[in-house]
Amino acid sequence: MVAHVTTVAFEGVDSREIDVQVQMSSGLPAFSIVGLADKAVSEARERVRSALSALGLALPPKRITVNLSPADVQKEGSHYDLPIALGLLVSMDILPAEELTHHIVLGELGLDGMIAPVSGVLLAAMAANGADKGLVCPATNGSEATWAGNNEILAAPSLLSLINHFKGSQILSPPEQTKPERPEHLLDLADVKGQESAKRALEIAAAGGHNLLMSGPPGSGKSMLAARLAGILPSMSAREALETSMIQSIAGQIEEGRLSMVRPFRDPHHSASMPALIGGGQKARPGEVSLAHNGVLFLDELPEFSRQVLDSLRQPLETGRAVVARVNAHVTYPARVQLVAAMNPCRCGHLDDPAIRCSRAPKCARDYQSRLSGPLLDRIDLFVDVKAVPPMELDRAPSGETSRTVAARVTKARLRQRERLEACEMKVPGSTKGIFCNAQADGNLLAHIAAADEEGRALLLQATEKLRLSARGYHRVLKVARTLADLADDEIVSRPHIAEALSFRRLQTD
Amino acid sequence: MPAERARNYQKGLKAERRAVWWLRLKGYRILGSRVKTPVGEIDLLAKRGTVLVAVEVKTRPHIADAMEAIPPRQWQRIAKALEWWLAGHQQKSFSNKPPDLRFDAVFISPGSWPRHIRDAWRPGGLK
Repeated sequence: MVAHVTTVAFEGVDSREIDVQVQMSSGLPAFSIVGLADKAVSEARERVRSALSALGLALPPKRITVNLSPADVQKEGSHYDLPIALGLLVSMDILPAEELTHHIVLGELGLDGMIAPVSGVLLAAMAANGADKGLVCPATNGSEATWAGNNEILAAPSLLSLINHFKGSQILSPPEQTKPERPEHLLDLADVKGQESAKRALEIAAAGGHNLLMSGPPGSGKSMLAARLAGILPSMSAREALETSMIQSIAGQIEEGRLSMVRPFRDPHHSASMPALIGGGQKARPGEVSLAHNGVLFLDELPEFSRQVLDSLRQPLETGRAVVARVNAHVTYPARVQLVAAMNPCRCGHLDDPAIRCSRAPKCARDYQSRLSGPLLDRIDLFVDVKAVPPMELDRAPSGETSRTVAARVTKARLRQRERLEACEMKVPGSTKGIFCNAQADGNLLAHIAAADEEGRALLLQATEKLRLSARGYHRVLKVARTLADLADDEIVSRPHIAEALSFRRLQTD
Repeated sequence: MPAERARNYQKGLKAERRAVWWLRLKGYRILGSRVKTPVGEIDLLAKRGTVLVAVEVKTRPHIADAMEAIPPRQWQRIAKALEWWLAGHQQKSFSNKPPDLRFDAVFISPGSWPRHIRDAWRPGGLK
């Protein structure tokens, strides 16, 4: 007789059901696992053997074969321990076979029979929900699993408690959902003195989800401003939060099963490699750009990133997906991020101040800025010069708006966008799939939602010619103008909005 | 040396006889002793129910020494020998069904009861 237990394998953010088959037959005693298993899965042998002996059970002296089917899908990770152990228990007639057929099982076993937490439980729970099955997962991941919906969840602390549950002698109670993470004390925008134009750009970026590049001398507050972006961004909708959490789940970054409604803010160091940023590695893992899905990817000291790394960002920024192609893995991770970058105008940073700039200016600046490729800069909607703060300003008490006031305006602008997108969805179903803000709109949808009036169109056309904007640049100006109109509570995009949007374009210096 | 060798041989035979009776008392049927095959030798072959057992008999003055007296290479030889033997005797004694295989050890030491270790080891490593 062959015992069957169902588990899942992960491919990007998709999961695929895997049938764990356990057969015991006569012959020389052996225990082998087949079905394209990687090292962590093959090592399950020793963990399972030892966990069973911790319960006082020895593997019967038979030829035991475990097959992970379909056999052509690469299996990696440690979550196959528990399904294999349960399969063995079924074929040893310790557990009833029919109990397990309606569950998806995942978990890692310790040598003492405890069940250790694994990554990807949220995805498995969603797969279980889709297949109308229950879920068996580690106790530590229980509350993470509850977010997928109301399927039957067994969050077991140990193998023994799971056996007792199936035998009916000690029923496991369903896991409790932990409350979404409260935003801890966020930095306030009022701390930043001066820098009104940069704050305005930050507000626009937050309101429309636009990409932003801040350039200025060291110490002018670029990083300070970026760090305060999280405080003015609207919190995620339930659907966005789920998408983001799914990626965090694969990366094993959900702590205590707590989902966060706060948009992720990732700031990788500039020594980051391409796999670290885009995703990949020998086993495909989501990179920073995916971990920042629906949130902000902040790249400080932009030109210091290696050129290859920066250019690899082009595709995710455009399509909202990071495609990782490897010999033994070909996966796509969602990566809809808002890019916020900061840079110095030249190596010494003081290009605009003739008194302290180095002797190599302005050639140095040209060299420094040429590290950024044109196509990457073309994807940035808002360019803003952050000037050094004058001494007078530093001496004054902080007087600017607080993050709370700005956040209120941003939320209102986002609400307008959502209502508009919903109206579009009603007219043409499916047209706004995966689009939550102005910056993500494209093509027909953009033309529809950001139609400018006569004067505005004339100005835009003229500017396109004069500034030699690319087609993408043209559309980006329109998107920013749409957001400006939303902030000003205008339904129609008009000339002043276009003009302000144009002022945030990068001027060709030479 | 021949005298000592002969003495050891006699000692081994005596130990095996004790092991045979010990197993018989436990309900095993002895299918053969000193089973020689081209790939190795099995001290005792026993059968109980559907299980075919290859038993290794060891004699040492102290039981603790006996437990450690079997090198891994010898285990592998026993496993191969059992398979060899099985290939020739499959149908005869097991009503056409392949038997479960087990590897046991019996330790004999003067002045104490034989000790029978069931499932003492498995191919591919000790348990």
